[in-house]
Amino acid sequence: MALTLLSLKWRYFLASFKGNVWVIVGFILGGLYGLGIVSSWTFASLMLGFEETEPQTITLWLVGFGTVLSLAWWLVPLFTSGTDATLDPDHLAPYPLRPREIMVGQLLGGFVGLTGFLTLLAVLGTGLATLSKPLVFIFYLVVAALGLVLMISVSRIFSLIAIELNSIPVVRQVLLILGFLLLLGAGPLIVASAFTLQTFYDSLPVIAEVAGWTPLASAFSAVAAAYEGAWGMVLLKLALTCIYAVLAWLLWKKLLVRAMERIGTLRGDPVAKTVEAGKLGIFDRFPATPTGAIAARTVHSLIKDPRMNMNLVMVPGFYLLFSLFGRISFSDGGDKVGFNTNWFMLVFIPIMAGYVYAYLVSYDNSAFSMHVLAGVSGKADRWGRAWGLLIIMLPLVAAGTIFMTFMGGNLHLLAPLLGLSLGLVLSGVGVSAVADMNISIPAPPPGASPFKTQRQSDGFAKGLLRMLVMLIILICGVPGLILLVLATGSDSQTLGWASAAVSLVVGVVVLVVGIHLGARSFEKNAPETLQRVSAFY
Amino acid sequence: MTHESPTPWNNPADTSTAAVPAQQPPVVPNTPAAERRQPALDIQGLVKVFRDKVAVDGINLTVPRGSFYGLVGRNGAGKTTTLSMSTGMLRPTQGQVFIDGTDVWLQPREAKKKVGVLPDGVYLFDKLTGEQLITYAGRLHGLDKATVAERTADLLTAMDLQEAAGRRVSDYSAGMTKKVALAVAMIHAPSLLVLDEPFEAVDPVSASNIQDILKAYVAGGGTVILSSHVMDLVQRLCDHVAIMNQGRIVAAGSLDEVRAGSSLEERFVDLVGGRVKSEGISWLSHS
Repeated sequence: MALTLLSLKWRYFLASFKGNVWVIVGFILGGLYGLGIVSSWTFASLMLGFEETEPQTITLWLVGFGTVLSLAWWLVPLFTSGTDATLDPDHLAPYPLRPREIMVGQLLGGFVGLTGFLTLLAVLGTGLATLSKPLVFIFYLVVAALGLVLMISVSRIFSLIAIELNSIPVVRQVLLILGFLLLLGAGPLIVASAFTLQTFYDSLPVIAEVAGWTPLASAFSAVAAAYEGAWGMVLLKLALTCIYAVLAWLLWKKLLVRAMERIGTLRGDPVAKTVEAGKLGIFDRFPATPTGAIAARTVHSLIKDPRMNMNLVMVPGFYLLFSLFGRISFSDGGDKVGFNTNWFMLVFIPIMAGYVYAYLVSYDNSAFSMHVLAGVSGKADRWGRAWGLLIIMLPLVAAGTIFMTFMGGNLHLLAPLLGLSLGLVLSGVGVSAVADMNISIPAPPPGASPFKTQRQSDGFAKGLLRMLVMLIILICGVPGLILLVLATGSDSQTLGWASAAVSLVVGVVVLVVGIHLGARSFEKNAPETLQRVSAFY
Repeated sequence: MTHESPTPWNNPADTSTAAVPAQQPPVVPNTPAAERRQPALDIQGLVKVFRDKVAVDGINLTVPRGSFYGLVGRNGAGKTTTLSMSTGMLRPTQGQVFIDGTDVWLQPREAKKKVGVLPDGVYLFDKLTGEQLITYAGRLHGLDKATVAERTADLLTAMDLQEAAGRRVSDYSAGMTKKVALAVAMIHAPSLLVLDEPFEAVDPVSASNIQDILKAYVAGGGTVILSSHVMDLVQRLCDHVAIMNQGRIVAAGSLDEVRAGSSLEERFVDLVGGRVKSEGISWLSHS
C-alpha cells in the first residue's frame, strides 16, 4: 500500500510537467542551482575524506550538515503547509488506509520531487567525508537512513501542527508575518552575522556538541563519534536516536489519526466574532460614493486580508531592518560618508509601495466581477483604489523615510528625500493604474497562502514586463534624483527644496495622468481584465 | 400585470410604492411606450470561441418582459458563457445582447443599471461582513447613503440574514453565501435578474425562501432568467424555458410549448441525448 501511495506521488510529480514548458524550465533551473550547491558540498566532503582528518572537523562537518538539513525540513512546512498536499490526510481520508500505511507512503514520498532528490544526494555526498575510514562510511549509510526517518517524521509532525495552527486565523496571521519578517531579515542578518563571524566560528563546536544530543543531529553525531572511535558514545547516541525516532513516529501517528478524524472541520468559523448590525466599520469613514466605497474596501482588504497585509508589513519592515543593519554593513572602519544600501532602499521601498497598486485587482480575483457588473466607472475604480492605497502608504513611507534618514545621520537632506520617496509612491500608483488594466500580476486567490506560487504558463515574458513597469516608475524619480545629487554635492538648501518640489510635482502629474489613462483603459478592457484575474488559482 | 409589490426595491418603475392604486396600469413617466415593449433580454447571433473551441455557437434568445425564464443544459453546454456575455463579464466573439433595448456591449453602463447578476463560482469580497458587502454593492451603483441603508436592511430581512449581518461572508455557509450574493444582485432594483445556478449547494429551506423572493419579484413586474440543471425545479418555477446543448439552443419558448406534453426532464433527455441504456452493474447488486 505504501508503494501505491509512492507511485501516486510519483505520477503527480510527472503530471506537473505535462504541457507546461515553464514548469520544466523552472525544474531544470532549480535543479541546476541545487545540484551546483550539492555537488560543491560533495566535492568538499570528498576532499575531507581523502585522508584521515581531525575528528573535531568531521564532527563539525557531519553535525553541522545534519542540523541545517533538519532545520530546513522542519521549519519550511510551518510556513508553506499545503503546498504539496498530494499525500495529505485530507485527500486520503475516504480510503480504507491504516495510519501506518499513510505514514510509510508519506515518508518515502518525501524523497519524490526536487527537494527530496537533492536531500538524498546531499546526504550521500556528506558521507564521503568519512571515506578514509571505510567501515565508518558504511556505518554512516545505515545511520543516516535512520536519521532521515527521524527527520521526516518530525517534519510531518511540524506540518500537521502547522495545518492546525493555520486553521486559527490569528495564529495563521502571526505565523505568516513572522515568516515574512524572517525571510526579509535573512539577508541583513547574515550580513550582520558576518561581522561577528569570528565569535560565531568560535562557538561552532559548542553548538555542534549541543545539537548532537538533540533530534536535530543525534544520528550524524553518532557517526562522528564512530569516526573518533568513541564507541561508548556511539552506542549512547544511537540509542538516543532510536528513542527520538520511535517517539516522533508515535506522536506523528497520534496527530495523523486526530487530523483524519477532523477532516473538514478546520475550515471557516461558524461561531466567528460578529459586529452589530448597522455597524459598517470602515465604510462609515468614507463618503458614500462609488469612489469612497472602493477606497474603504481597499483599506479594509489591505488590513484584513493576509495576502495583502504582507505588503503593509513589508514597508515598515524594510525601513526598520535596513536602517538598523544596512548602515553597519557598509560603514567600514567608521567611514560614514560612504554610500550604503539605504540610498538604494530609500528609492526602492517607495517604488514597491506604489507598485502594490498593480496587485490590487489581481488580489480581488473574480470578486472584481462586482465592479464590472455594477458598471463602475473607470475613474471611480482607479481613484478609489488609489485613495485607499495612498492613505496607508504615504504615512508609512513618510515615517520610514524620516526614520531612515535620521538613523543615517542625513537629516539635512530630509526635505528632498521625503519629496523623492513620496513622489515615487505617487508615480508608482500612476504607472500601475495603467499597467494593471493591460497586464495582470499573478496573485494567490482569496483564502490561499500568500506564499502560494503561481502557475503561469507565460510567466517569463510577464516577469520582463513587470521589470519594465518598475523601471518606468524609477524613471519618474530621475528628475528629483538629479537635483538631489546636485544638492548633496553643493550643500545647497535651495537645490534641496527644488528637488523636493520637482519630485512631488512629477509624482502628482504621473498619478493624475496615469489614473486618467487607466480609467480609459478600464472602460475599454475591464471585462478582459476580469477574465485574466479570474484565471489565477 | 398586477401591481402588488411586497418588496419595494424590486420594482424600479414604481417610484411611489404603496401610494399607487392596484388597478392603475404601471405607467412609467419619461419612458416611451416603444421602449417598454422591448424584451427584457434579447440575444442575437451570440458566438464565443475560446482558442479553437466553440463554446457558444450562434444563439438567438428572447426573454419576454415579466417572464420567469429557465435556461437548462448539461455541464459544459455553454450556459455560463452565454450568461457572462449577456451581462458584460465576457466579450462575445460575435453577436449582440440587448437588455431592455440597450446594447450591453455598446452602452455597458446604461445596460448594467437595468440588470442584477448572480454569477456562479466567483469569489465575493468575503472579508467584508454581509451587511458591508451589500452596502458596498449599493454604493458601487451610486445609490445614496440613506437608500442603501434602507434597502440593505430590507434585503437582510428578506434573505433571513439579519443574524449573520455582522459576520464575515467568508464564515457563511454555501446557502447563506448565495443569498447574500443575490442581495448584492438586487440592491439597485434591476428590472432583470440573471442568475447562474442560484440553487446550487443551497439547503431546501433557503432554496424555498429564495424561490419566494424571486416569485414576488416576477409578480412585481421583474424578469428573471436562471440557469440550472435541476429540471423539476425549472418546471415548477419557470414559465419559459430554453434548452441548450453544445453551444446551441435546441428548444425555447413557453414551458408548455417546449415540453410538448411530456415532463421537462423527458423532453430534455430526448433533445439532448446521451442517455446510456443501463443493465445495471452486476457486482454492485447486493441482493
